[in-house]
Amino acid sequence: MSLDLADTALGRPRAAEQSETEPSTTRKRPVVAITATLTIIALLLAWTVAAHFKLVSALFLPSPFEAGRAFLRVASEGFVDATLWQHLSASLGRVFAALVATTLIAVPIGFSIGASPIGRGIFDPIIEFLRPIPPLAYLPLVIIWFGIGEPSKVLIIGISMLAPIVISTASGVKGVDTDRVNAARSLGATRAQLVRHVVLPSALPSILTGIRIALGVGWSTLVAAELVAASRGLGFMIQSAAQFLVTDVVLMGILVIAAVAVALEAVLRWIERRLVPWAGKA
Amino acid sequence: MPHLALESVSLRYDGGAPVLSNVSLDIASGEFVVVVGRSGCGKTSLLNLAAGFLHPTSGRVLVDDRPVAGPGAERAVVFQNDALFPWLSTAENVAFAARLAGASAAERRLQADRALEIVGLAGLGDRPVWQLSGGQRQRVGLARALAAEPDFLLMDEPLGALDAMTRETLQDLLLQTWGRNRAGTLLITHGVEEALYLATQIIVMAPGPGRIIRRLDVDFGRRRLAGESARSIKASPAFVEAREDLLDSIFEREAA
Ligand SMILES: Nc1ncnc2c1ncn2[C@@H]1O[C@H](COP(=O)(O)OP(=O)(O)OP(=O)(O)O)[C@@H](O)[C@H]1O
Ligand SMILES: [Mg+2]
Repeated sequence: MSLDLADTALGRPRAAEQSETEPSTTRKRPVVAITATLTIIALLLAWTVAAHFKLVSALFLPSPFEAGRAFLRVASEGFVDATLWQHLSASLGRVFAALVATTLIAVPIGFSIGASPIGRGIFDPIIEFLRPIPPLAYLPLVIIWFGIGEPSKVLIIGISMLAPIVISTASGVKGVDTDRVNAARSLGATRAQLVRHVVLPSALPSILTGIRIALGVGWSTLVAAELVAASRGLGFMIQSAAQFLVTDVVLMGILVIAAVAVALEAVLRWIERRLVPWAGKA
Repeated sequence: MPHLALESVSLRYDGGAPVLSNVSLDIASGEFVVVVGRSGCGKTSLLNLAAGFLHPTSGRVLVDDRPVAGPGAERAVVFQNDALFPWLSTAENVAFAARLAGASAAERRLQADRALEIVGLAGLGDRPVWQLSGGQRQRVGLARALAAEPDFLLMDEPLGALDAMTRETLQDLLLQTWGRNRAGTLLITHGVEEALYLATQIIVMAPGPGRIIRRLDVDFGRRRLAGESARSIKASPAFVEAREDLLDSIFEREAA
């Protein structure tokens, strides 16, 4: 399935995603949920205990309560000249700007890879070249070329999103059912109509999966992007806090980044269910 | 009168062994041609040639004596695995040809409702197709083809994936719609009884390379349309005899 392909292409097999596609595991889901909740509680407990008995110096490991207090404090008073909400919206703004721009570029590229050998010949090497490079490696080059402004940050995030969307789109396009294409042709579809009425909707579930994965990847590139002379953003907040050894803000920032990632994933999955309810059913 | 012909058609998929050799076939309006033959003898390839999805290596495919360049709306196809568009509602699937032609939503709806009525699915237009049963989906596939008002109806084992009871119901449906619109029909099937029951002409193919080994004219379908019950037709000595005869044709060569 395209979904698996996109995931393995990223080198990030996702256990949860895979089990979800297997109908036989539906019965196991409550077990997974319960175990997961218990694990989280256990980790929180361990953290509390370690902090409470000062197993680790409070400077390095503040308790969960301190992280919670940091959350409230940064949410209301702010940290390094911006409230938590401002940091968060700066980060989200960058990631969404990158997502929109990258989608507009990556979907056509994916189409040409999926639909034509020439397109494949042109773009495949580029994508294969970009895919494995970690953002921190191209960060300096982006700064040299494009300076330290906002566009550079968006670009860094955008580059990391390119491959997942291109690869999923291409696999969606390649996976278009031949019978459906033939059915449309025999009902009088022109080439353009085939793309618009058959290929695009067929590939849509795969494109959305690519976007969801890209959003995750882009979000995790955030800290790297905000290394570049940012004055706002969650990544920037964490780095500033680390410089002043404000560990509770660092921890809180990490938790917020994780929580937002989970929320984004959930929103995207909801959009997928709304937009392509047929995916995997026909 | 519309007229679809394959003239001495041969086919090989790039570089492979010949799949069809010197096949000639003729379908006029009002005819119901059924192709039977063992698996792999090239039936689907034959239909894909007639539909214009494939081009013959040699020979010609003609509609009204003009060579076909590709698929065309005068030859509608019904697929074995329905090939519906799950992102569209049932009605929009049925009116897909009209959608491509730029018909308004109201026109499409009208056309879809009429075609759905014919296949016995009145009122299901708003359902997503992926919520329909296999038999219902095949009906939608048929309705989609009928709505395009084709001169020819090409069907590749459209009932192959259905249970026996649904299949019999849909055989009658195929017969009735054919009786009404008289579209020249090409049907491929594994079912010998199905072939006898529906066809005006049966074509038996043999593999290696795929070729036509026998043609026979039958009239059980016409008897059915004239009002005789399916039961009495299928139990009649003539039917039973024809069935054995046909089975012999299909399997004789394998034994030899
Ligand atoms: N796209 C293809 N490329 C190469 N060979 C093919 C292709 N499609 C079919 N063939 C070969 O052509 C021959 C005829 O195939 P075809 O699908 O027409 O048979 P069929 O009579 O429809 O079989 P079945 O009853 O199983 O559907 C087979 O030997 C098959 O392997
Ligand atoms: Mg076949």
